[in-house]
Amino acid sequence: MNDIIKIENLKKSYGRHVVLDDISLSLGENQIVGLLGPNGCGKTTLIKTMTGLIKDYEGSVIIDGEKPGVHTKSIISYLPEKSYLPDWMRPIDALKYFADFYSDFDMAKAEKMIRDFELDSKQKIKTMSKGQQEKISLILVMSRKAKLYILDEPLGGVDPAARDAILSLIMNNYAESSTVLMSTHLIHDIEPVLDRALMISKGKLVLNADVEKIKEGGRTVEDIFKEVFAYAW
Amino acid sequence: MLGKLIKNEFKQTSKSLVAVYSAAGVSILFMLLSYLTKIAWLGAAGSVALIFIGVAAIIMTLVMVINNFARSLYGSQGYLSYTLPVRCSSLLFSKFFVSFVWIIVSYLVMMLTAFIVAWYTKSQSNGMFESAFEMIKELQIISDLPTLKLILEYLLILGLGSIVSVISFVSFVYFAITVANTRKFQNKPVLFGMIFFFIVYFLNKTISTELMLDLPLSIYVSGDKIGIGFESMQDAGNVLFNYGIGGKLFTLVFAVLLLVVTGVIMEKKVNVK
Repeated sequence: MNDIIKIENLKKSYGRHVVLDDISLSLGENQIVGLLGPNGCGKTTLIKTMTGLIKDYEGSVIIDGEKPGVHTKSIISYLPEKSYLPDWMRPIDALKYFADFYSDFDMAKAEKMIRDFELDSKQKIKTMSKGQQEKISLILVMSRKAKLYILDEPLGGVDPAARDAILSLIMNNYAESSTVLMSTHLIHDIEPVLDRALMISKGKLVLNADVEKIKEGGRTVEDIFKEVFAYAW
Repeated sequence: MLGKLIKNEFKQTSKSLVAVYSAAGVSILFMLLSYLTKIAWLGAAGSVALIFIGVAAIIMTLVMVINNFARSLYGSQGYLSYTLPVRCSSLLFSKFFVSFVWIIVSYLVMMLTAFIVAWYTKSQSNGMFESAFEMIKELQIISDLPTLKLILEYLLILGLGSIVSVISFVSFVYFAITVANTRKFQNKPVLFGMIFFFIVYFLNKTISTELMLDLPLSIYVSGDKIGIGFESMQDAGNVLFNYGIGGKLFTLVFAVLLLVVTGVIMEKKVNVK
């Protein structure tokens, strides 16, 4: 199995505050990985180093054999934790924008999802509800046939019913043989779909394990999460 | 990809300028209507509106250039821009090119509005303009001044200097905003952006003014000819129109250098919040 992500001795600080402390990990293709940890543990910073949004770090980050750059950006489909589309855009504009820049963007699939979710493709995105905006962002990301999906808190800020809808949208639409990396602190919701779990605590990687093996040991990911992050409560 | 970046950049930035250009169009229509129907107040109102719109077009364009760069790269939209599969240099060039085009278009709109107001005023002046031109022509012959054609050519060359000013303005703004959004300064990006802009602005102003006055390279108009001279502006005392171009050349080189540095910072030091 080839490594789609290979990180060695990654360190990132904001002044004296160390956010990522000597993180090393490798992730193979064709698996669903949960990046787990409480808020502020460094999940988003780790994701931003992989997507090229942070470049002033120590250590090495390799995605699909290359440092973050034009190639890695073309194979990563990234959902940020915040709304990032320009104010003037309507869903139809956003779809055209993605089709312009990503050769793996499936326009027909995106249009179908817009219709299925009963979204108005000509309504300005900024006038839509938060839930609708999140659906648009997710549709854009999941309409690509990417090698690596990086989803930062896709379930954050939505009610339990919407979480199920979002999770099924992800599970039904990611490209075969690709890797999905999802960050979240909502373990219970995503545990059933995970192949691998990563846990970050205070900037350090404290767990990188196969979920099947965890279950064989008679435990759940949630049990380990509660144990590791007991300090956070 | 550069073509797509430029296309989308035009699409994004045109939204904020369409209103002001449309207003200019409506005012021009009012003035034409006034000219045809001889309703004086309509033309007067149109003239005043056009003067304001001409100035507003420039101000709004400059504000748009600043806002668009800061928002699309260092606001939440930076998550979209910086994850596109393009080089940072392409991202920077597309923004620079589109900003440059809009500023030039807005300058042209301002000149057009001034021209239309002048034309309208002339049409209402009952020959006063023609008399004034005749007086200038007579003054030229008596005082041995360069011809109007030469003066216009000289002004056109100086107009090319304005293009350097536009390039340097965009370059200074981009540099200042980018440095203000690196780790050390990004807690107060607006404040530091302004500080960095004024630092590079005054640095350029000081050096370019010195070079304009002292470097022996200038454009002059003397008698019936226009040309490039190798005397400094200060030494060319007996020439009526003389402009040292060393300052503009320095500004151009400095602006290009800052653009390159901006691209390197975007490539190596970016830290989108």
